[in-house]
Amino acid sequence: MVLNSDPVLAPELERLIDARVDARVAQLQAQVEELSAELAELRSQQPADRVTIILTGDEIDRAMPAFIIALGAASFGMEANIFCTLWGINVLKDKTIYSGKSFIKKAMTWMMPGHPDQLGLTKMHFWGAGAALMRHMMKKHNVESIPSLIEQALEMDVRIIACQMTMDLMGISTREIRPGVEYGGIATYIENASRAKITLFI
Amino acid sequence: MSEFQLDCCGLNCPMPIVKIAKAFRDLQIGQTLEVKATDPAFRADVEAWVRKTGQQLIRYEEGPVKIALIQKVK
Repeated sequence: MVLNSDPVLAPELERLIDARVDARVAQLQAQVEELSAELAELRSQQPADRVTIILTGDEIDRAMPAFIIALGAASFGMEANIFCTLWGINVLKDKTIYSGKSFIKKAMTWMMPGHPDQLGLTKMHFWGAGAALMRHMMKKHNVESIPSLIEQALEMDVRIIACQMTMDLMGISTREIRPGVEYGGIATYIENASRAKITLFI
Repeated sequence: MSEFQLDCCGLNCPMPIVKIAKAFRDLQIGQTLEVKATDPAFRADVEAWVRKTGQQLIRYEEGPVKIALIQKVK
C-alpha cells in the first residue's frame, strides 16, 4: 500500500494500530477474568454427588432404610451422611449411662434404647415382641442387623452426625455414643444438604 | 475365569453392591471381578452400579446363582 511506505505516515499508523489492539486485548482480558470468576462461583454452587439423610426415629423400620440407603449411596461412589436427631440419636448409642444425670434425664434414659440391638418398631411393636420377631425374621432372611449396618456404613466412610442440641435436651451423653460418630448442629446439616443431590427425611 | 472372585450368595440388598464397591477399591484398572449372588434384585443393582460408577459389565448369567463379571476400567 501507498500509506505503508510513506516515511512520515507509516510509524504514526503503526502506533495507532498498536494502541487499538492493546485496548481491545485489555478489554478481552477483563472479560475473561470476569467470566472465570463467574464460572468459579457457579461451580461452587453446583450440587455435589451427595446424599443427606435426616433420621429422627429410633425404630428398626426407620434406622434400616436410613443406613441401607446411605450404604448404597457410598457403594455408588457418592458421599453419604446421616444426620441423627431426637430419637434417631438412640440408634448411635452403644451403652446406657445413668451417672451424672438429673432424675428426669435418668427416667428418660431408662425409657430409651441403649443399643441398636434394642430398637423397637413403629408398627406391631407389641411391647417388644414385634421387634424381637422382626429381628428374628431379619436374621432368617439374611438381612444385615442394625448394628452391622452401622458398622458397615462407617467402614464405607458414611458420615454419621449426632445433633448436639437434642442430645442435651434428651439427656444423652457423648459417653453413651459409639465411636466414629461426629457431633454437629443445624449448620453442619445445612452445609451438607444445600449442595446434596438427594435429601431424605426418615 | 476371573482373577478375582467374590461370593455374595445368601446376602441381601445392599450387601452385594457394598462388597463389590469394597472389592473394587483394591482392584487395578483392567482387572476383572467375578461375583456370584442369589439376591433377587442383583441384576438390576449390578447394572445400575456399573452405569453410575462407569465400570464395565462384561458378562451376566442368570440362574439360581447369578454370576456377573465386572471389569475395572477407571
